[in-house]
Amino acid sequence: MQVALFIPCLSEHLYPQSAMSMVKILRHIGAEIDYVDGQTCCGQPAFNSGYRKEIIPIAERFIKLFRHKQYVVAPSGSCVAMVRKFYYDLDIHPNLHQARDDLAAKIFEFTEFLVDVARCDGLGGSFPHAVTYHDSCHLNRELGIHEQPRQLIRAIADVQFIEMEQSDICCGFGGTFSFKFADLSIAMTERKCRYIEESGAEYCIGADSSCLMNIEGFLRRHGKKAKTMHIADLLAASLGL
Amino acid sequence: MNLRASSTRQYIRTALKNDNLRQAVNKATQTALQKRLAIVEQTPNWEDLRLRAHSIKQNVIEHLDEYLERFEKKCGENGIHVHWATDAEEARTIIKKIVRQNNVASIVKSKSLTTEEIHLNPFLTNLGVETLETDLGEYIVQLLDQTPSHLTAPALHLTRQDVGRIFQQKLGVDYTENPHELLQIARKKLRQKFLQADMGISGVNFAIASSGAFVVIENEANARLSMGLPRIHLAVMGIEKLIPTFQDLPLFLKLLPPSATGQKQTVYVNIIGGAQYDVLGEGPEQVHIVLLDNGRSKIAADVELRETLFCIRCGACLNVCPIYQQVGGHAYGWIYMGPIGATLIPQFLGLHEGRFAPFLSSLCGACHEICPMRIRIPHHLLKLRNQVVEAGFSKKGEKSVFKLWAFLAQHPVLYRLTTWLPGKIQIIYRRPFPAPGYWRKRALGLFDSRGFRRRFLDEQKQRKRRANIDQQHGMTT
Amino acid sequence: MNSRDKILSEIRSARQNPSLSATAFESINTAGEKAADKPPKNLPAMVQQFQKELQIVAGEFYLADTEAKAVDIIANCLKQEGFSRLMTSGTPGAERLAKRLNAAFTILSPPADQERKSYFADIPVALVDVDWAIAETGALVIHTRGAKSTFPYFLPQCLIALVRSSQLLADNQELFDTIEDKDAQNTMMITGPSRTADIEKILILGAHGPRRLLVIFMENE
Repeated sequence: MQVALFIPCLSEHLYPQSAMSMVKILRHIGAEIDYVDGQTCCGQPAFNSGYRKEIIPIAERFIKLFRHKQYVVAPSGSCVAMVRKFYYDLDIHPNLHQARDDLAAKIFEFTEFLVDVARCDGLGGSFPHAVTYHDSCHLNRELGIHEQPRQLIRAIADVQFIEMEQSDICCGFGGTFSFKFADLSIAMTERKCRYIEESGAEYCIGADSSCLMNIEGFLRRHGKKAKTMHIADLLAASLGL
Repeated sequence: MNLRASSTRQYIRTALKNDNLRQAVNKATQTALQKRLAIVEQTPNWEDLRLRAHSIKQNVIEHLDEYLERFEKKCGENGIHVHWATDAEEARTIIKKIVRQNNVASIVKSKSLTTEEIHLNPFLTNLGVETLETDLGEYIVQLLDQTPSHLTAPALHLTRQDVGRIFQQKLGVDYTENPHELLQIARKKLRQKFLQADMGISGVNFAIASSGAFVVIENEANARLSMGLPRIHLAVMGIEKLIPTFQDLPLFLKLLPPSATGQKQTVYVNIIGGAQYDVLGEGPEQVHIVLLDNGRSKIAADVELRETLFCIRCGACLNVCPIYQQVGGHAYGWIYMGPIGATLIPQFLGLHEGRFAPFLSSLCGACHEICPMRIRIPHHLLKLRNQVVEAGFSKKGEKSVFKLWAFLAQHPVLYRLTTWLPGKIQIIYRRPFPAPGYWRKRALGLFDSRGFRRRFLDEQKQRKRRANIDQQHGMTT
Repeated sequence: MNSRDKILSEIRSARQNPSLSATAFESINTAGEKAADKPPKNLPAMVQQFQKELQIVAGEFYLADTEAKAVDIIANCLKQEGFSRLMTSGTPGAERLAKRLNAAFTILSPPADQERKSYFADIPVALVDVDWAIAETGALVIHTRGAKSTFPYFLPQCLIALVRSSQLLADNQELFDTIEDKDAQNTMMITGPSRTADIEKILILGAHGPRRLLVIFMENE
């Protein structure tokens, strides 16, 4: 099983550790890792801000880079949603339509890949802490990935998994939204963090670095005890990788 | 009404500080959502109902001319006077004419967003016609000279104390914050008005194309009274409100009330197909219907965005929206609010005037998930954002930034450099960068100047070296 | 070009763009599940469901196997509320019962002119017949076409409705599949007493219409 890594911008530059954890887990289940050098961004920040024309070359470049891979896996739901779903809203060159369709069918979010493709029911391991899980919006609603991460968390032998209130309510990040309407975004983050705190969990697990960055920033600034953790880091830690 | 960026931001800031408002909005939306969920859970084929309703509306919007012609013909047969209005001004002119011809001195209205859309109340008041809202929430909001803050619960942003003070000031009654007493005050005032009024005005929830009848649903009986007591009834209807036949109505009745108020069915479903009650001297002698375009036919031209015309104004997307829950409906600056409002504002008011609305969303998608008509609201918001940008109405300088960024993203070495640099800078500065608003209440996420690529490639090299050593080692032993 | 033609031509040009549905009114056939697909009627279960749904929306349900029993129930309600006057919908069933109440209560016959509304507005209670009742929602269905008085259904504080077992239908789909369009065209459906929750989402019964709704279900008719 050959897995080509798609490392989104935030993972590349802010959370390389989480991406490294993903690599360890993928190796652990026997995947052969392939890194496509020269990859950059999928174009999502511009797309969400209304710039479509501008990112067509980025999308086309992305499709070409990954078109011949068996599987493409990324530690982010929103970036996978961008490629799998929103590339259809771009005027991609007709010659690349087939490649776009193919790529849409073989690009996977990390937990989705583990559970649905690699048929991994769980990795076991040990993580004797109370954790809760935040459903990132694109992951949950665009890709329908809700159960997979929970299944992987529950399979850890001694973890205490607590569902927080409204685990699927937006954390308030929303990309450029968090700059454009900073006050509103913060109010939303505050609410999310309240739910995390009320759950009593030590760690809020997530599968999208963008939401985690947002939540973590708030928790840390306000001196909250709860910490965030990418699910790849959780799995790697539980296996001692 | 003000849709400018600065005023929207200002409004949001004020709203966020108003704990009363936030509590009221929060309580109201959560109650509606819980009640909705209880019914949806009892309805095993809910998803199937949504799909069917979606395809019926699609059919209607894609053949709207045929449906409208049939509706007009059938209304004629039923004795309903049909009027066509291309825009708000024409609708007002038509209504003025009917009012004048019939010497109408007082009007009772039941809740209708479409009449808000054409600013009917101030217009009629200026004509010297007493025009009263009769839905309790609308009545309160009208006394305050505000517009509704929710599609189905207009006074949702007010507490009972607020209402007590409003009644005390505007109606000259003793202060009470007992909701039962407040209702009695309003009922008594309005009952007299109902009996005296010359004309009743309502909106339309659904219009039956094959039969020339329209449906108004409600709980308070105020629509029933406004349709049943005055000698003239007038309904203002957006041209998208049609459904094909009466046999389609049950489906929509199954979807709308749960989504709106968490009821299985509203207390009243009023169906009017002509002035039929005159035998006993009851009910309207004349029924008028104003078919309002006001930009809808243009919206129908876009293969994707025409889906926004499927909306049945239930307000579920408002209730579930994490942004609406924080600041309520007035933040959007227009009568259509919340996620669906954010799609309608630029389409009705123009991309320039409405350039801000599509961005007032974190694109979380809860609206699409809950929408009984399965309108892909985030999808349409994204498309409208693109239209705002293409029309040149985005923030100054933003385009150049994204163009530069797009250039860099096609050149990996440069791209790496631009993200490597802030990492280096941050090590020295460790201070808010680059968006102060964002960072004010959130700690800094630190760039890692080494990045994943460097780490991975280094690790890869080490692994290779180790593998080589192992191999050599293997050969020597 | 007048506004009508302007709007229609605008829509026709919008239709130049691709659409997914082929012809108008194509949804008619898919709208309702065919009556044949439905299980046979189970009247006792439907009555039970009707009662449950009616009570959920704060309506009151009484079962009456004879008219005498129905008269008792009505008389009790009137005494309880302290009402001495009663109006009816003028339809045969309500009229018949009203005659039996005549000894103890004043049955009013309203004028048929402009005074009618104010006359009705003061009357606290009405006894009415309905055309249909819906088990799925607890709704009463009244066709308002023709020489039927409608005021009694929404003006009084208290509404007493007579429902016969033959009038009970499973759901709205059955209703609209059963009735003719010309009846459907002028119809009101009433599901429970009028209500509002416009102040802090607090439910209050009796907004602009009745605050009490009693349904007397006549089993044997």
